[in-house]
Amino acid sequence: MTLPASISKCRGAFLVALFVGGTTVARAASLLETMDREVSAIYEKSRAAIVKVHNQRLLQIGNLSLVPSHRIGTGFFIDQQGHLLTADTVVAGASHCWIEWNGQNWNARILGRDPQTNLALLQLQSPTNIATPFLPQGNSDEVHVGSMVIVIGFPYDLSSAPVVGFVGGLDIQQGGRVFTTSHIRAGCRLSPGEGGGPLLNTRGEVVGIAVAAHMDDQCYALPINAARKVYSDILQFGQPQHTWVGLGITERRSNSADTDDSQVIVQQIYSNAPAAAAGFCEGDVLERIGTNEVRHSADVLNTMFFRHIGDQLDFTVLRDGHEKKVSLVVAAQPADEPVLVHTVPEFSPFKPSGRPALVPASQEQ
Amino acid sequence: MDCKKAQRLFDDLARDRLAPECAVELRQHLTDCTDCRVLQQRAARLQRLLALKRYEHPAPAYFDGFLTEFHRRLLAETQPQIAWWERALEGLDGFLSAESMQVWRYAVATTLGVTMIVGLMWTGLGQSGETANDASAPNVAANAPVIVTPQISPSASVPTLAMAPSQFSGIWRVSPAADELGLAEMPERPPAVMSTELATPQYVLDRISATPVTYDVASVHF
Repeated sequence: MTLPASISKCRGAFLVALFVGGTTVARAASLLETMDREVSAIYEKSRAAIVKVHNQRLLQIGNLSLVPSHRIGTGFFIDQQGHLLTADTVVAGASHCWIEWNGQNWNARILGRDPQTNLALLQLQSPTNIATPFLPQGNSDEVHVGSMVIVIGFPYDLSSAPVVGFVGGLDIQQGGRVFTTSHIRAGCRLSPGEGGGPLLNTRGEVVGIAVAAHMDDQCYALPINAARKVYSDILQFGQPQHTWVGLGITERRSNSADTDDSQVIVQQIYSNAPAAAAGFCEGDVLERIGTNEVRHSADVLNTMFFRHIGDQLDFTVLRDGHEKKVSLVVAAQPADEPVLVHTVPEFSPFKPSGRPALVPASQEQ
Repeated sequence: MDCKKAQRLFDDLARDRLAPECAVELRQHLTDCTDCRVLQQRAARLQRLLALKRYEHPAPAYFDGFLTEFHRRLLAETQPQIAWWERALEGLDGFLSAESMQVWRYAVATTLGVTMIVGLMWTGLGQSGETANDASAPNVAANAPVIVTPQISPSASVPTLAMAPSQFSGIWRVSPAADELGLAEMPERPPAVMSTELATPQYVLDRISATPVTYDVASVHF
């Protein structure tokens, strides 16, 4: 029996569609299985270097020792010498700090803390110089919106667990509050106890440190490049080196919705600051810092975060329609609140540029 | 027939004590009035339940000697109750108030006073003895062949056992013999935190509280 030519054509098309559909479904199933295997492999490979960090605060009243708080978070080794990173709020105010690793409790020494980035550097106290497993570090500059990331931490009193999510953005501010450098916003639902956990990319490299939860299903992570700068400072100088130029800037955005043009304007200048000595004027438009283009406030903060005290910086500014170069030497952030040259500060300068207001998890509960 | 009157006659209807005309009228009202019908059905059900109630009967020989038992219980309830210690106090009071016992009153008071003084002195001696032992402790530790002698300082309660070896220098005394044996290099014990009273754990995860979304760029100071 022979079919008409049109029906034969339809049958051929149907068979082709069936083949394509079947292979697509099979491919999707294969991708999910691959993802499942990869996440499990990354977790298994990394878990040995991830530890539970305990912080015990003691209150001594005469001979009486009270234990008013016992905080638990997550940390991870960054080298074989037992250095480990965690969130600053995990170890803040600690009288005694120890970690749970390899089924044992080990003393840990706090080498340095940075409340502005919510990072702390600890070192395992081992008399036998144990070579600790550590997590390889990636390049957080490669992280982009949509990147898949895995956070591993210790939720509550449970064993370590991975949380998979996708990067939702690189934010310099949340609401009206500004980070010291851009933070990775990931769609990972974290639980109390996972603060300080590593944020891993799909290669199992650390690209960030979970420092805070945001809303119900997101978290903020300090990029590992920024963390590396902070802990290098701690190792070298004993404390983080936050720089200070003495400028207050604001961002003026274009009214056009089609373009992303915006300008960074000098709004305030602090007295006894490098910027005042270098001759900055209110209303200057920042064009470049060194060779880095400046279009947004984030460009300025991200550039300044990685500078060191004593570095010479060349600013290119636009003043009265003409480009002008202004050079200065970066100073250390003053301990006291600086004073503005021309205007009275309406708020503490460190509040907006410092770490956003964090609410301890205990208060949340 | 109104509802109020009908409801008064439910019981009579159930006992068949109504005049025929009245019963007919009441039944007609119950047919027409749902509320009264429901009430009448409930009343009838209640009557049936009450009819099922069994009456209690006392046990056999309950009334034998009833009057005697009644009087005994009445007397026991009306008589004032005196506790044993009240009776003992009354006895003691009587004993001491007797003329011949006036001398014994002073003897007992003197004995109690002497006992108290001796007790206080003994307690004070015990405490001073402990202090003396503490004072002699360093000598004993220095001479005894003890390898590691922990000297627990008063403030070293919880954190002492969890301190780093370098911090032990002021608290732990290692004898020369121990140094020779290399025991001072012993791996540090895990902190004795598991046996220590710990506060309720607070699991840390800071939270950046969600604020209304704003497209205004905040001022930045650097």
